[in-house]
Order: sequence, then C-alpha cells, then structure tokens
Amino acid sequence: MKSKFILLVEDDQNDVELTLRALKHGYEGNITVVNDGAEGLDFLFRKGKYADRGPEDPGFIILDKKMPKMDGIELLTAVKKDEILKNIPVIMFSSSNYEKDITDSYKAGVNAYVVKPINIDEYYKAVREIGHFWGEMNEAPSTEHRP
Amino acid sequence: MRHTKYVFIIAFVFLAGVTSASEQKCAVNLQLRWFHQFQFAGYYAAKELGYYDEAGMDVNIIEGGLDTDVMKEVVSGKAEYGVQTPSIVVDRSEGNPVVVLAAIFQHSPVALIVNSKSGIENPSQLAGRKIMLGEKNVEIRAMLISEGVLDKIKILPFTGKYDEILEGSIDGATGYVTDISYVKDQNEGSFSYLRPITYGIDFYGDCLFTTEKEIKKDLERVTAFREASLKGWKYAMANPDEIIGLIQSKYDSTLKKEDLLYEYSQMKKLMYPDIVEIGHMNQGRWMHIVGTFQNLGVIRPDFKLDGFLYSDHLNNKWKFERSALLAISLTLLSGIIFILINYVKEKRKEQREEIRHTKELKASEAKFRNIIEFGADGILMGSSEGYIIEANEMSCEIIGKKREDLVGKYVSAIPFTEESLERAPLRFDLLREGKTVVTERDIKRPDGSIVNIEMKTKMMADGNLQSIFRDITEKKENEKKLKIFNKILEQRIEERTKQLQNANNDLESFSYSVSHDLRAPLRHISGFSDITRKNLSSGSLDKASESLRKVEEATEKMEKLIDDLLKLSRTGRMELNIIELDMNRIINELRNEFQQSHEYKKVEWKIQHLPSVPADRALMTVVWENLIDNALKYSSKNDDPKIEIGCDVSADRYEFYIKDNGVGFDPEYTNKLFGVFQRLHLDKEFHGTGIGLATVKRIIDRHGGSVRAEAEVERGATFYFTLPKLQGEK
Repeated sequence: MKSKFILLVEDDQNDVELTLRALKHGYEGNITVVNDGAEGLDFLFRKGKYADRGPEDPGFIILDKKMPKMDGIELLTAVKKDEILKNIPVIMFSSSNYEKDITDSYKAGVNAYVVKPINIDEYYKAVREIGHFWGEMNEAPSTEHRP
Repeated sequence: MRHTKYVFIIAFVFLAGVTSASEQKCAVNLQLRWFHQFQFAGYYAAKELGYYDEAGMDVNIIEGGLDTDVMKEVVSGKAEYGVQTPSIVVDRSEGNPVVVLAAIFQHSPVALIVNSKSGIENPSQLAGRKIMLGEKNVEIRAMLISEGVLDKIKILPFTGKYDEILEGSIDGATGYVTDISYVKDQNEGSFSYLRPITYGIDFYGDCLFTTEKEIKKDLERVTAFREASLKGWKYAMANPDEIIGLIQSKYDSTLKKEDLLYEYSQMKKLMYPDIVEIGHMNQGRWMHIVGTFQNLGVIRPDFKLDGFLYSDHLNNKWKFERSALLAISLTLLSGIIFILINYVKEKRKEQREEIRHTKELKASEAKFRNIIEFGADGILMGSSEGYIIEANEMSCEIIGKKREDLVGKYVSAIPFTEESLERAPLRFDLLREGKTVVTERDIKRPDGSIVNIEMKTKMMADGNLQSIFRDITEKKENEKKLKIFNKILEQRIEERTKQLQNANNDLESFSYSVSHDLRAPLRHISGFSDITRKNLSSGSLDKASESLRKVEEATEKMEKLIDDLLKLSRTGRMELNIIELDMNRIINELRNEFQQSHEYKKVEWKIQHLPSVPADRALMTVVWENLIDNALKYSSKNDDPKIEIGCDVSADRYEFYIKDNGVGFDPEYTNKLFGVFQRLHLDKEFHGTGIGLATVKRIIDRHGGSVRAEAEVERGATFYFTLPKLQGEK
C-alpha cells in the first residue's frame, strides 16, 4: 500500500519542516500537510476547499494536539466517530507529556501517542519510527472493503 | 320718665350679665403647631367635653400651619398657651421666659423621611445630598451634627412637598412618623425613616407650654388649664373614634378616618398612655435633652434649667405666695404636734414591749437586708400598680439613678429603651401562673450610656413583683465581637481559598506550559542548529543563515512566553489598589507608545471621551495594552487600519469596547478566545503566545466584571469588558 499518502496536521511551521525532513529519509509515500484541526476536518470530510479532492483517504494521520480553532483531540474524536474514517490509524504527535493529554487522547481512540522529543536526533528517530511502523509494517484495512 | 327708667334697668341687667359672664369664663388662646389632626386630640376633647368650661375657661384652639411660629405667638401674648417640640428649651436658653407644662409624647415622632429605594440607611449616607429641613427642627439637626454630616448636606427650606422625595429632586425631608398624609396614595414602604432616637437623641415630642408671665398672673388658672387638657388627652386616647369624628366634623379636617386612626395608633406607641401618666415629665430627662443640645453647641454650657419646668413654680407657690396660709397652718400644726406627742408617748410604751419581742426577728431581717442591699445583682420590688417599692444599691448603680429617683416612682423611671420594651415585654400571663420570666433588655442611663441587662422577674404571693437583674453589657459586647470576628475569619478563609485556587490554577498553567509550549521553541533551537551545522558543512551559507534566523526567532518566542507567563501569574497575585481611575489618560499614554512604532503610524484612532472608573491602575494598563496590541496586530494587514475605543454606561456597570477592522475570527471559536495558550490563528499568520486575553480575563474577573468578543472572519473584531459600578455611584 505504498501509494497511500500521510496526512500531517500541524500548525507549527518549524515542526512541519522538521517532520518533513525526518520523513524524507524513511518514508517514500506522499505527504499532505494541513495547518490546523479545522482544515484537517475539511480535508478528511471533503468540505470547503477540499470538497473536490480525490477519492483516496490517507494511510495514516500524524496529528498535533494543540492547534488553533480545533485541536487534535477534537479532530481525533470526529474521525473516530465516522464509520469509514475511524479505521485510519491516528498518531498523536505532541509536545505535551502531560498525563491528562495522553489519557484524553487514548480515551478518544488514538492509535498511538508519541511525545515530540526536544533533542533533534531523537525527534528524527521518533518520526521515522512512526513512518516505518504505520506506513509499512501495519497496513490499514482497505477502503475497498467498506461495509 | 317711666320709659327712661326701664331703659336704665335693661341696660343695667345687660351690663351685669356681660360682667358676670366675663368673670366666669375667661377667654384663653391655645396655639397649635400644625393643622388640625389627631396630634392635638386631647385639646379638642377637653373643649368638647366641657373640661375647660368646668375650669372656667373659654379656650380658642388656633390651628397652625407651615409658617406658624408658635413661640412668637405665645411670647408676644397673642396666645397664652402653645404646643411645640422640646425646642422650647432652646428658646428659653435664648432668653424667652417660657415654662413647659406637660410632655404629651414621651418620645419624639420627628424623623427624617427618605425614599426607601434611595439606599439611605443612616445619616452619614446623606453627605452631598439635598434635604428639606425646617429652621426650628433642632432634633434632626442634632442627629446630623452628632453623626458629623450636617455641614456636608445641602439644606433647603421646608415646603411640605413630599412628592419631591419620590421624584428624586430632593433626598429627604423632616416629618412625623405619626403622620400619614405624605404616604397617601403611595405604595406602602415608599418612604423610610431616619429617627434621631436611633442615634441617641431621645427627646420628648409635643409639649404644652406657657410663659412665666402667665404663671405669675394666675397660677391657679394655669394649673386648671393643664389639668383640663390632660384630662382631655386621657379621654381622647381612650375614645379615639369619637374624637376622630369630632376632628372631621368640627375642625374641618380633610383627613380620612383611616389616616387619623393610623396617626392615633402611631401616637400610642410614643405616649404609652397605659403605662405612663399622660403629660409626665422628668427633670432628669430634660437635663439630658439640654445636655444633648449643649454637647452640640446649640445651648450655651452654663444654661440652668431652673424655672423651666412647671413643677418649679409649684414649689414657689407654697413657699412664698401663701405665707399667710403658712402662718395659720403653723398654728394648727403646733396643736396637732402637741396631741401627737402625747399619743406617741403612749404608743412608745407598747412599742418597747414589741421591740423586745421582735429584736431577734429584726436582727435576722437585717442580715438578709444586707445580703440584698450589697448583693452583686440588682434587685427591684414593684407593686402590682406599677410603682417601685424597693431598689438595692446595685440596681441604682446599674440603672445609673439615685435611689430616691427610683423608689416610689412609677416603673417608667427605669429608662428601658423603647426598642427593648417592644422586643421583650413582661409576660404577665406567665407571671400570673407563678413562673419566673427572663427578659433581656437595654437601659439607657441618664448619662446616655446603654446597659444590656438580663432580668428574672417573679410575682410574689401578694401580687408584688420581684426582679433580679444583672449587667450583661460586657457579655453581649463579647458575643457581638465574637460574631464579627467569626465573620471576618470566614471572609478571610474564603478569600485565601480563592487565592489558593487561583494560585493552583496558575501552577497548573505553568506546568502545562513547561510541558508543552516551552518545549516547542527548545526543539526548534535544537533542530535548526543541527540544520545550520549541516548547511555549513555542505557550504550552503544562505541556507545556514536562514536556519540561524529560525534559531533566533525560537529564542525570542521563548523569552516572550516566559515574560507573558510571569505577567499572568502576577496579575493573579497582585493586591488590587482600587482608585478613581481616569481611563482617558491610560489610553492616551498607550496610544503614544504604540505610535512610536513605525508600522502603526497610519492607524486611524477614534477614541471617545471615557468615564473615570474605580479600578487598579497597573492592572487596567495591562488590560488596555493587551487589547490595543491585539487590535493593532490583527488589523496590521489592512491597508487602512482603524481602531475605535469607547464606553457604554448603564445603571450598574460600564462597558468598554475596542473595535478594529482587522481579520477578525470565526465566531464559532469564541469560547476558546480567553483560555490560556488558546489561539485562533497560526503563528505564521500572526505571532502570539495565547496568554494576553487570558490575562485580560483574569484582571477583569478580579474587578468583578466580565469579558466578551464579537467578530466575523475578515470583518474586524470587537472586544468588550465590563466594570461594575460601586454602590451609591451615580
């Protein structure tokens, strides 16, 4: 399923840059970046400027937790409530190692919670592992088998 | 000739008739101080029932009014008698030789009437307000002087137009609590009263008075007039319906029956006709009234009461005017004494025997008497008719009166406060059942001090009452202090808990920020330093420079975050220093600061004149700084930026607003606006830490106000905050 793309939902441009750099070295699929939760929602549910995007859904979603307007948990909740979208793995990738943020995310149905490391080498490593595990090892159920 | 004789006889008879009529009935004028109403019921009764007639007087009752000067009428001799407030003692001190005959009202009905919705509950709140006050109204003046506000009040002449109080063009006017005329057609409770008695000015109400000249001329006539008047009063208070009918039919009163009945019921509370003899006066009470006036500087300090009281003149009569009678009496008396001495001699013999028998008994009685006399509690004995039979030393000490001013006097000689008598009446029904009745009352001593007492009363087998009482002022005082102290303590705990909660919330915010927002810039520093190094080693200097810029930005962002967090935490802890704050000054200072910056030069400012409000200067500056900074920031991409600042004032609050024509925001997310670290814009669009509006909200919360915002995407935003008005602020 290498044709599947990753959806990166991230408001911080510096983090986008660092994440993209990390993925370049370990992941060969396409990466779509949206800038906050609200835009992520529009993308996934094909609303607003994304109403006409193609039929393909992302292979997995890397989601920042704290974003303007709609935050990661709100978007996660919306995704996991949707009969079709709920099968897409969502990885919460956040600066926060705050206990409550982690439990809230798991309660909302996140597939993994990864704390953004401060050290850049560890950061690259964490991103690559996400890409490797969710992109190549662990295939999501195909959308062609929708009930 | 016969004719002339007849004429002569007729003329003689006619003249004789006139002469004899004028001898029997002497014409007397009584000047009232106000319009005919129940206030003067006793005099109407005395006239109607013929009491004056019997006393040989034809009394003409002259109605008073707004401009009546009773003192002038009486001193000039136009009227022999007058009805006036205890202010007559002031007139006496100023050289008018007037004598008070009777105090009809034991307590004064005079009050300052205010609108009950005005919030005025005590005289000190009258500062800066307007009241109508009659020139002669010394009691209200005394109250205002003693509360220290007289010179802060605008005094207008009295017009009797009480409507103006409800309309709000004046704040108060003098009046009688007995009078319903101004309450007419108003909802009950439209007016409330400030009564001098509440502030330690306890005067008699209406007094009957005359002049020394009149007394010198005919003391008997004065006595007869006084007695007939008081008899009339006794009748009037026992038969109010009859006298009300009389006032309406013969004195043309326009007052309704229920108004007059209301007046009667209020008067009853001031006269105690069932307990106190109508007209009763006490020299001590008058001395207290004079003392009050002297303390207030209304009466000169060396003024003596001698000759002011009717009773002073009675003594003179017996001492000097009846010397002839005295001589006869002395002769008679010596005869009687002679007989008495013989009788006593006989009697003594018998008594000597008796004494021997009762010696032991007396010794034992003396022992008990000592116990009672020097007991630690006050002990009083009262007769079933209400007279004080016994009072021990402690009673006198607690009550503050000499024994001779208590024993033999009516029970009203114990100066219980009116309020405590009403609160704790003696339950005769329980006493008659033989129970001990415990009452807590207050005594107002002649020196003005108040004592709280606890009194146990029991009815003896012979119907006499025995009361044991003790001074519990200190206990009461302590209870009161304890209550206040507890309340303060509770308030403090509440305050501290709130502070602690806020501090906890601060801590929570801090720990969250450390775990989240402060980590991001650190990561960026680490990341872009690494990229810089790689760029340098591959020789791409432009890229290295770009990466280094991002490192710098990240450090700046971090610094701003730390600053803002400290500011937020400080706004929560700082003690509020509320002053009358000129908002215009703050706005102008901030505008000047912001205008220094080149990017904001073209902003068009539109600033209304703002009110001064009670607020903290430092914190309010932070509020405006954040709001103006926001407005400038989010309208900076507009070619023609405009900022508008203004305020709407309503009954209970000020609502300030700042409006911009910037990018606005999606109203769907308004609820997130004031949360810590909540942002509605990407950092790449507009820089920010997400702490500013949280700081604004916390400051306004602490001032007791609220914040809100309105906006649309691309159509500007308006931020509002309210500040409450303080109580009494106009």
